[in-house]
Amino acid sequence: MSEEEMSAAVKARASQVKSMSGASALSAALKDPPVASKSAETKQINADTVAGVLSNIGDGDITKVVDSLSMDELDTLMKYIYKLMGDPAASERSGSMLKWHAKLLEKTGPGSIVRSMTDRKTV
Amino acid sequence: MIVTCSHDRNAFVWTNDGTTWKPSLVILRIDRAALDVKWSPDGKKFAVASGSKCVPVCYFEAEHDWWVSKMIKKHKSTVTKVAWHPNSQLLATGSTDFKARVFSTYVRQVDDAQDASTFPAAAFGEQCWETGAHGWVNSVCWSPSGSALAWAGQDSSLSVVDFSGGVEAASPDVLRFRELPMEDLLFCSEKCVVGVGHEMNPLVFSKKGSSWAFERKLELKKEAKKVEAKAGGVAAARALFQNRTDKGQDSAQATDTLDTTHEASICCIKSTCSDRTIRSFTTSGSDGKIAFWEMGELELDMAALGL
Repeated sequence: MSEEEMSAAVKARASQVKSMSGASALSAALKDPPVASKSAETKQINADTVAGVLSNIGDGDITKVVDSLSMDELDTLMKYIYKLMGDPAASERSGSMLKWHAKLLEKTGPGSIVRSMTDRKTV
Repeated sequence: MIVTCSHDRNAFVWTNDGTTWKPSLVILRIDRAALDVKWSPDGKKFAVASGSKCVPVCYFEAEHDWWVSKMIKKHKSTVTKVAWHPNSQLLATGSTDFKARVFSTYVRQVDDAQDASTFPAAAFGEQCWETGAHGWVNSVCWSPSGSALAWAGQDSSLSVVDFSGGVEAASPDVLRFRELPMEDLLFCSEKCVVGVGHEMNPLVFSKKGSSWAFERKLELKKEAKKVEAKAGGVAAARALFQNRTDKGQDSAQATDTLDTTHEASICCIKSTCSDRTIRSFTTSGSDGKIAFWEMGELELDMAALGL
């Protein structure tokens, strides 16, 4: 996939996900993250899409949504949570990110954290 | 004979003359630390994993009375571990370039006829097989028969590939687990792998049908001991202050002690059986402890694990 195709794909996904909600929206947002892209902008657009979906899910539903995700999706979500927590421009999100992180950790164990740190395929 | 290697880039072969062990230096020709060394199962060769992106394979040349080394130079980064196939002619390596590889280490001077049953015959240093992982490969290990190869990655994964159906058809079974990554592996039987690492507790994996699954942690959590509350008076006050000064809390808690034997990451697991089926082994950790484990005493389903 070329850089343009990946950029177009993440933009298409951003608009596609807008019309969805809950677990299905999160699954769609986490599908094929632009790991091969060299453009920080493309990666940021997809991260914003994921952040948008996460913010629309209420605190009470986190457990249910996390349970519905596959192993691969959980690992990708863990990578996004670290990326989003590390974003200085959006520090107000960190509180809800920590809640997601806690629920995710319960489900996946520390293995997922290690994977998100070691993987060179960054999101 | 014992072979040792170290970060000083040297390896020594130690021979016992009845009372003392005498070292003889092996010129490895590497410019970074030597990280791992293993004798081949027939004892004629040994391989050294090193930080200089190569693997010296050494054998004894009687006419020069000297250990000579031949290099395998196909790695792109540090080689972390080496493992010998039971036929002593194939070597598996794990590397921080995220790859596990299999090489031919056939040396005409010391080896018998080349064994081409698993992999096609190849000259020394030729790569027979390689595969990618998502993290550094911390450890590699052959199954007792040499038909399967397992490796552990820094991404908390165990991968096992079975070569019995041919090299071309072999595809790795990747298992990502909840626990922290493993540093060393041991096949106890064709159906059981024990891995040790940062989890402080050995992890048991077993083959169910054709795929591998996480079985359990080797050491089960002990029943939480009730912390005895001291009955009033001076003793209680003393315990209170003791805990405050020692631990910064008012009373002793269950989390104060670990429920594992090892208190830090485990870096090595070694079989204590001469048999192919391994029922007991030792582990050593960076906490300075060596633990001995008897599989039969750990409430494992031995039959299901092929033991």
